[in-house]
Amino acid sequence: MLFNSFTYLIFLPIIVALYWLLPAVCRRGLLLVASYVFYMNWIPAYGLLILLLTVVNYFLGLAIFAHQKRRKLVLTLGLIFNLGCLCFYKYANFLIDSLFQSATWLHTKLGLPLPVPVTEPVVNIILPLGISFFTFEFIHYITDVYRGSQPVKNFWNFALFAAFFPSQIAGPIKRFQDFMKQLLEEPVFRPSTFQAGLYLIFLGLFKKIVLGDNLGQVVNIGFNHLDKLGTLDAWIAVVGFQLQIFFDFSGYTDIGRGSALAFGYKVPKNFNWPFLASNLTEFWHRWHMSLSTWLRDYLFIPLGGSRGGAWKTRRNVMLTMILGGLWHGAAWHYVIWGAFHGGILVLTKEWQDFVSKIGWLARLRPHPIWHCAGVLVTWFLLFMAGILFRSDTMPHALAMAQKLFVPASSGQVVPALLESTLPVTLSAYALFLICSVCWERSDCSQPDAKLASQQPSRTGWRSYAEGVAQWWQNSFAAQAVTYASVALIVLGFAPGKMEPFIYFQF
Amino acid sequence: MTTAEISRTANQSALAPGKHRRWWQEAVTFAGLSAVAVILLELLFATCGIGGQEFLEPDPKLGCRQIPGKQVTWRLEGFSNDYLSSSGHRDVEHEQAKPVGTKRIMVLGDSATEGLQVPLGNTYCRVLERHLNSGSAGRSEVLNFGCSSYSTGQQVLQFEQQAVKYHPDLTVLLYVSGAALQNVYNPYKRVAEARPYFFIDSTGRLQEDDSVLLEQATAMQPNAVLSFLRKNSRIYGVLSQTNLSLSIHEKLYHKIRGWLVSLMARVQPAQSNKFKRLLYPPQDVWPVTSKLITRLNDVCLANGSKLIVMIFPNTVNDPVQTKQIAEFIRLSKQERFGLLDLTPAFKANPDPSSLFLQYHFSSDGHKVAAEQLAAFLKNQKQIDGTTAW
Repeated sequence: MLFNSFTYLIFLPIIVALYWLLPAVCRRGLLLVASYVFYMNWIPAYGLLILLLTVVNYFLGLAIFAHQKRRKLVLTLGLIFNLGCLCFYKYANFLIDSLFQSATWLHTKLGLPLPVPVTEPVVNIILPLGISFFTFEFIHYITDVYRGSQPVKNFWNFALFAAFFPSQIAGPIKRFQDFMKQLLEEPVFRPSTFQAGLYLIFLGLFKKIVLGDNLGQVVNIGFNHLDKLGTLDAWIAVVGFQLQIFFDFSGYTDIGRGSALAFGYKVPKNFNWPFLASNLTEFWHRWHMSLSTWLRDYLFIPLGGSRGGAWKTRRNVMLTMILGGLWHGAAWHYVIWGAFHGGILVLTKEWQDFVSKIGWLARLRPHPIWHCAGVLVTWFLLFMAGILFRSDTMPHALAMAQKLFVPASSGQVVPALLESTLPVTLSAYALFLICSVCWERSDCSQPDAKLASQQPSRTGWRSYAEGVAQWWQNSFAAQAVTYASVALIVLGFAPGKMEPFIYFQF
Repeated sequence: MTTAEISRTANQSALAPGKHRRWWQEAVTFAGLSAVAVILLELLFATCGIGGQEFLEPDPKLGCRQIPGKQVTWRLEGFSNDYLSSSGHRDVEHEQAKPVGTKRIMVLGDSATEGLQVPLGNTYCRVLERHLNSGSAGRSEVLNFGCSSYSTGQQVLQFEQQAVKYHPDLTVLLYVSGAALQNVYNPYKRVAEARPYFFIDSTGRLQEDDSVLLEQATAMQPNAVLSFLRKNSRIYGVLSQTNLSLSIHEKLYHKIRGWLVSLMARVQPAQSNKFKRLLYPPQDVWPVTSKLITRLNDVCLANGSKLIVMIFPNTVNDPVQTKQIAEFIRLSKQERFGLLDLTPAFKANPDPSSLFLQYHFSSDGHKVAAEQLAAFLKNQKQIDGTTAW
């Protein structure tokens, strides 16, 4: 079930209404059933897969806790089981294809007597939605139990953690300690929380449908018609893709977080102004945060982290990012995308060390121009990496990169952008961001002492705006009209067909 | 509400006690804000060219027709932003009376001819007119009567009821096999689109079946408010477009809507029973379509016009269309009308995919169609000097 589908539009309000109308004792059961209905809406049989993984990991958690002496063995078996499932469903065809291509090359080019089949064997597997995400949650669970956390005793609570539909398909990757705490506290209906959820759902829909999907149409024209691409077209397509994936994924996350809030649950944030990062290391602290922290805690640190000297740290960064790339998709261009990010992260560290050693460079670092230059360089690197991510093959990626730097007259992308609603909607979103920042910065009630000192007294417009906000929060009519208007705007600016979320394929 | 505020509000232990407003205060607020929101949304949508895709209105005889003078901003496939003519066609203004010394080509068809996917000036009708007027001393006019969703039967009726008044010297019908499917329907089906259908009776004659139109006549009667909204409201356009989009792409919506329509038909049996549907055996598409083309040819000849059927390119080698083209060749020889199959020219293009957007012609596709038609007219003149061109 897609968050941007009519089915979800019917599904969510029904479940939310039932959830709060039912006695508290029935709510978790309802959420669990709803989560399975949500998941099985696509391929019902895959409900059994998530159930099997849940049952096995539940008992693995208990076994690790109960058998402390053999916990390493149980953990290893658990990792093999979880990663085995992931590899089978996600990487089987990738492995077969890579082996077949290698064998064919060795056979034809080097004349090695290998038994290469005439046609490439293919395993007919449909990738279960969200498997990459919930497998990572299971790995986190058994690893944390191995590291000393208490396992979840109640199977149904654990099943709900595993299947919770607002974060089931594309994250954010939850931590069971946070989720269980909320689960055991029994969420209470609070209109303010519900309102915050509703706001996030609408914001997410706007990002996904109005911005992401419309950008996708322009980007597709660019990436699908390389032969007719001018230089400006290529740049628009490449920049557009980076924005598209942000709006698509952060839109999904907002809808997921908003849906969770409607039930009184908080799931982690995934984005924190990623395009303001002044280097790639900072970018990964702001982009897909639940994945980057997972990679840090369950891959980078177990590999040795930064404990074994400079070279081992570099190796661990590279390995983490390459595997992170492979996690995104079973194709070589994702691997290279990961390696690119890993390489730049290593270089960033080297550059930072170099700068701190050179006095005059180190003095320049706090300067805003230094920061702005860093932001621009980071954007450029992201655009280059985005080509690897978006292209179907490496030759396609190279051809696209070439288009950026070889001057050519414009083709179809520029007119498509100008004819679309994007100039208006992107400007409106930029204005919204500026207003948000002004609003936050003028808020003296924030615990940030620095900000408070900058704004010693509440300005006239601020108190007026707060009065309007207070009135709005107390008026059901005002809220109804506002949300109906936003819904109409989303419908009006939506492209003809709803597109699935990009991260669903991962 | 900012991100920081969301977490703050979500953290609040209870709702801040707000003043409870009286119901009438809420009602007044709702009415006032709704009015403001409607005005602002209409302005926003008009500025951004949103909700301008509603361009058809009910027609008691043809099922639907284009709204005269409506500004249409098309974004579903391709892009265009133009006005329909005052006579309600995707065309420039044309007087009904034919100017002296002018030769007229009347073009009939469906959405492929209408060409909302490209700017008006790039439709094959406009390109053809420019082409014809650039090389000769005489003046030519090409009239575009193409209308989205029209079946061949509706195109024939449109010619008989409207187009003959324009006294065309030549009539071109762009045949799309999908449009022919709508010539017939299963009379035993409860839900059917409001349009005239056709069947061949026991004596082998072509008969028109207006029973679905009559059945839905009440719903199609001009409603002043609805007509106003359809013509002027962008919000109405957005809602209508959403309804269409969801009907096509969302199975659940389609099911619920179908279920509601069936329910309404059951709830209002009196109205349904007023008009009894004509009952006849299920019809094959081609025999009905060939009779319709024959009828159009006869009407054209009777009104001093010559018919040319232009066949939409079959670049995907659809076997049904391939068979129909063979049938058309036989029929054109028998009935002596012109036949132009666009398939070879489109296939011969170095980049056939550039001639289409998704389903419809791109600007390049329209150009190729216009060039093929112009070349066909030129050849026809050389073959028999009696033709209009």
